[in-house]
Amino acid sequence: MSPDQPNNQTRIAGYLDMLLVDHSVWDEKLSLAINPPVRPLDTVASGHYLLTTETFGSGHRIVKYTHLLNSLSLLNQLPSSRLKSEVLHRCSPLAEAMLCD
Amino acid sequence: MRIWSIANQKGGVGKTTSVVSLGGLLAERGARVLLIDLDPHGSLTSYFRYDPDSLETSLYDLFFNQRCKDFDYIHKVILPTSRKGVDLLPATTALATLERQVSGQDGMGLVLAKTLAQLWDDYDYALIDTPPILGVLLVNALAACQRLVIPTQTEHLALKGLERMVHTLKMVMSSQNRQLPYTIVPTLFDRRTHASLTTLKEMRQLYPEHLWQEAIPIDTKFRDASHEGLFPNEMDSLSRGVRAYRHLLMELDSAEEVRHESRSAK
Repeated sequence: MSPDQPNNQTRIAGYLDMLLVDHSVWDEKLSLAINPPVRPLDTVASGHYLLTTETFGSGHRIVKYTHLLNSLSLLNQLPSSRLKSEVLHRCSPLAEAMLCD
Repeated sequence: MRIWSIANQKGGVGKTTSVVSLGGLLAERGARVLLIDLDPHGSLTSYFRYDPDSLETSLYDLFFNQRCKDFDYIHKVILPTSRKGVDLLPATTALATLERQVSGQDGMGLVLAKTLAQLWDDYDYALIDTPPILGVLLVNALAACQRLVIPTQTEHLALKGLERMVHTLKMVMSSQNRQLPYTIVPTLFDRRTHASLTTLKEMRQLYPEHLWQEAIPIDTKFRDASHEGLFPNEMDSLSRGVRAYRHLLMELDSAEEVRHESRSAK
């Protein structure tokens, strides 16, 4: 088998990534950040909704990057608030780093 | 809510018996428990005298049209069991077709996690019975739970299934970028047989950190309870098997306490 051909390991890893990628999670986290959760979600730690970007979620890096950039663009459309400013302030350097990656 | 998946990529190792036994013992303490049948064979569903061939709604329906986020719909799917405080999210045989139905759709491994998020305040524990093959159903169980319990028959062939299960778990953890604690539970242990003793010894050597130090013995009372549709502790609360599961439950709960405390401290 040539090194470029997928083996069992890479096939299963791709399958898992496909099943476990969650396109809605960033929107959910954004919504949780703006409206504090009414029930605890295991994947969301209090106060850390938007600050876990580098390690958040599943799937390929490019998918995560896209989610972050989409979320920042959504955030930009929201009315001004201290939280919005804070999130943009903290995430902008990361977004810039992603674009340069 | 504490969510535990009971899984092994080998059949006949005592997964359903573990779910029912732990569920019954939790109910004995007054906990609100949801038992979840993710296995298309529907053994857990049949245990409580529901027919997986004829049920009109089941977990299967939650995989379509965003129903996993519909609180009212989820409650329509949940069924009572013979014991107050213990409910069942049943399987139908249609679950066997799910792999084909949702093939290629992103995010289908997170349906159960989203369903349980809707039920967070309604139950203290959710115990998930799983199919013995790697597929969308097993991935849902692994993605939704906070702890994996791996019942492993104390015979040589079961070690391969255990190895495969631990490997799958590591890949899911890598994909989800999180740590998932697991406990290996030796089952169907018969101290009179050489096979049981040597396999247990091997398990201790291979998985010293994750192996529960006791074992669930072979006990005909499990079969009797299943025949009557009762939880094993309702059938005979002092049987060898029930006593072993009681010890296991204490061990799992104390491990959860430690995990909770270490997370709180961070």
